[in-house]
Amino acid sequence: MFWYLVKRLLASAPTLIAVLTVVFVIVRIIPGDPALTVLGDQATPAALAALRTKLGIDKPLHLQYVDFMLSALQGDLGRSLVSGRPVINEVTAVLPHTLDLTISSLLLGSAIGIPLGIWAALRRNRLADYVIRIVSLIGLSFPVFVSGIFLLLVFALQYRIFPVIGTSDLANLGDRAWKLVLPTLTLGLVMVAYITRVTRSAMLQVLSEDYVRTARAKGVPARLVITRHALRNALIPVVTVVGLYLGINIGNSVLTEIVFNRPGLGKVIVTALNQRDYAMLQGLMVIYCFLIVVTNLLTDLTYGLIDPRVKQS
Amino acid sequence: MKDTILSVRGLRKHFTASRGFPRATTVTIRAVDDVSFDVGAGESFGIVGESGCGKSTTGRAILRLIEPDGGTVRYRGIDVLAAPPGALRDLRRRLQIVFQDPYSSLNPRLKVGRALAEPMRVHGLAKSADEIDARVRALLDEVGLPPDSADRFPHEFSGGQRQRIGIARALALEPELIVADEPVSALDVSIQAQVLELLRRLQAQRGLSFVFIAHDLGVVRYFCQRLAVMYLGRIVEMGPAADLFSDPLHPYTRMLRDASPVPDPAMRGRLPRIEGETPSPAAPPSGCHFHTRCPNVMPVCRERYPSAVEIGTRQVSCHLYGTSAT
Amino acid sequence: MSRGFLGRLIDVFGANKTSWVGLVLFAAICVVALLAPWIAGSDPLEQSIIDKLQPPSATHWFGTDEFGRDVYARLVWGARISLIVSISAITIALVVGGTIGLVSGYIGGRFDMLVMQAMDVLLSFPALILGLIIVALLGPSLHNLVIAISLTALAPFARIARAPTLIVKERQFVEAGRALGYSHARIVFVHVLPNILAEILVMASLWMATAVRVEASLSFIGLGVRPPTPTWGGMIRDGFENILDAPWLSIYPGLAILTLIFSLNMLGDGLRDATDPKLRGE
Repeated sequence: MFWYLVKRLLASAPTLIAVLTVVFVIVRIIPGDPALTVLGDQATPAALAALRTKLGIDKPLHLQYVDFMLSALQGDLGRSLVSGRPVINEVTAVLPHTLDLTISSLLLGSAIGIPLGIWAALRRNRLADYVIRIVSLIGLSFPVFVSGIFLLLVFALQYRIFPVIGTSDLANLGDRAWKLVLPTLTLGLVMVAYITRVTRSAMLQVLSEDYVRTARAKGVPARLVITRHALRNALIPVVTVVGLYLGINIGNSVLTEIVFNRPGLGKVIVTALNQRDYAMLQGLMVIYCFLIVVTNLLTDLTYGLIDPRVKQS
Repeated sequence: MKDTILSVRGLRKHFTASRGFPRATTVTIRAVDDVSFDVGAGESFGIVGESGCGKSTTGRAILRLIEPDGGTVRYRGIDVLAAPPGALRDLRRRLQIVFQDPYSSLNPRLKVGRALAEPMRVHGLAKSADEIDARVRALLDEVGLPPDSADRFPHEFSGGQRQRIGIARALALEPELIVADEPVSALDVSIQAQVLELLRRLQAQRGLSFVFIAHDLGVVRYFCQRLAVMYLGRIVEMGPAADLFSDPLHPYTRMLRDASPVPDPAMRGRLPRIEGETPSPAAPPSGCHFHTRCPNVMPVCRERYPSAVEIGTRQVSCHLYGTSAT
Repeated sequence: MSRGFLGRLIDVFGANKTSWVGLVLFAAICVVALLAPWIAGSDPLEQSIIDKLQPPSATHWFGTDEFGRDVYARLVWGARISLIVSISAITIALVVGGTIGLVSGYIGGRFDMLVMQAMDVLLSFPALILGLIIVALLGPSLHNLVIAISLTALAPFARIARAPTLIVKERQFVEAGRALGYSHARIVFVHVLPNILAEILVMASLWMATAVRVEASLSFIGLGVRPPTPTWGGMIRDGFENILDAPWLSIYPGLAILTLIFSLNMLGDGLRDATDPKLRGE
């Protein structure tokens, strides 16, 4: 297991470096002079030059690249051009909101999706299966901003059960949870749909395997066949998809944050794009990619817990 | 021997694989090790051995479907392994291959007619669509398939019929030599004889030469004039097929001969078994590779690989023969 | 095992029938988009301040927006943008990404490893974020939207094309092609490609759904085709500002997007079930 971890970490290193390079390149291609953006049209050439020096963007590109890589690898993501605050502070200020949303929707998706998928698989080609498949396909087809608006219309505007605006006080846990309900439902519905479908097809696959048939044939009770023999193996593809979707969810949270007017990573990135705050953008993308690499690693570790074969290899 | 057309000298192919983390170990598999033989015009030359002995790799290396690591292959004086792309294309027309698996060797999306016409078109062997059509029909007829086969897909045919299609495709280029890589071993026994008969007829009519690869001595005895027996990448015995059968020199050849079914009820139940498992080609035994299974094993066999000795029309690599025995 | 009437009905509309329903629905939306000039009824850009924010009625089936424009007409015209963007983006991604995966898988070895590393880098950005950055970088226009979305789908298509290529290239007819003196290009495009096309096309319909979603999302964020051109995502963006007074402005375009994505998902899902031998055989 230890060597496996080391191997995985080493394997993700080139990807991480390549991703950082891509980020660096993308940010340099964005049209517009950052100094001009910050100081405005009226700035004197001297002031502009001074700012460029301060930002380090008057250096040759390869030196900028080395600077960027070194500081990124040390966790220094620079400062926002607009607010002047370190990028990392801006991010940590909103990160709890984004994590709240991502994790709660993931939990909701797993809590409903896995049992539903198992049930559909066991009732294959019966009414329940058919209904679950169609409904989950509809769930998958909702862009999150559409489902968000629909939920908002029904539960916040029509029936006024939940608040319209999702900005919450982080210290007040009750408020934090209460305002999380609708956004979580919005993102969670997509997760439920996805996890249901993956669980179903993974279960179907596993149920047709010889060892499950053998277990059945030798008279193992149905409940045990499902929990001990089938589910454990069916969970592997489910974990893959959950891991994959954690990344997609981080992306989708942009839309949820706009609909429910919540602070979060997505909001920050849209603002940074609009203000051409290139230092901010650069830092944000590094964080996004870091989150995804971490997610992939966690996914692989979960494999190790479920699948004994991984530990040995 | 009459005029040699294919001459293979010191052919080598080693595969390497590395395994393990964090300390990787490299494993070298000597799939083909110093293999030399000649094939005459119109001759059928058989290569026999158990699976993993390198016989198929040898066949593919001759055609450069696998690039060998060493040795030379000459076809009518042309150095096959050094041939530039243009010359290689011409060689590919003259040297063809029939594959073992009739299911995987035909493109399932291509109608039989197109599969046969394509090589002619690519090599510009026919001028017009009509001519191609006529030649496709002639080919189908030659291998014993109905003319309407051209409009059907491979999956509509049985294994034996598919193998006939594979043979027809090889013939489409009017080749001079065909490497037949276990062409009947995937077929039912009843079909095997029919396909072998077809190959024999084609050989007689077209004056083809064959390199016939098989794991079963019975099949090659029927088809080949001369034979090479391979064990773990090396040729252990080579000579006229009839002699190898009547009087095998190498203990391994004898073992193979005794294991192949004999159509004599009196012999039934008295077949000796092939002793032991084939060692892994990644870690062949020291000295003579065969010593772990050899009934005549001597101390020297564990130390040195025997050099090849000529005995009459035959060549054998065994310490029992020649000066190396003592 | 006894089955009720509903059970038998389900059998009739079994796995592969869903793809038919999806196809019909998708074709219907395409027809609407094609016939937009004739069936929209009124000009989607014509403003009329007196008629602003009218609820749905006989004259304005889906109501009017804050400039008094007919929502129905804008929806019908908006279908064109969704379809043009998603079809062109997926076609580009399919051709370019598919070729990358096919060639990379066929060549194999170090080259393949490098290419797939590069694709992994592309995959480490969430599609929406990548689209967001590219559009922001190039500026919002129909053209750039297509480029951005095709870039987000490039890596998945390369992966989808590569996996079956690795299997097909081991089959003996590929080796036979080499023995027959065919060029690599001929082997790849005449012999390997037709054998992996089904897999790619199934994924194309599923990725079309994603493309529609990304296009709508970008328009919703304000990075889509510029107003006043009607786009579904843009309509929701505008409608969202008036959600208290005029919810229909968000509801109808929302339903339109949902229907289009759903039809594509049904189509792709049914096709995948039909082509996946693991699910087919039992």
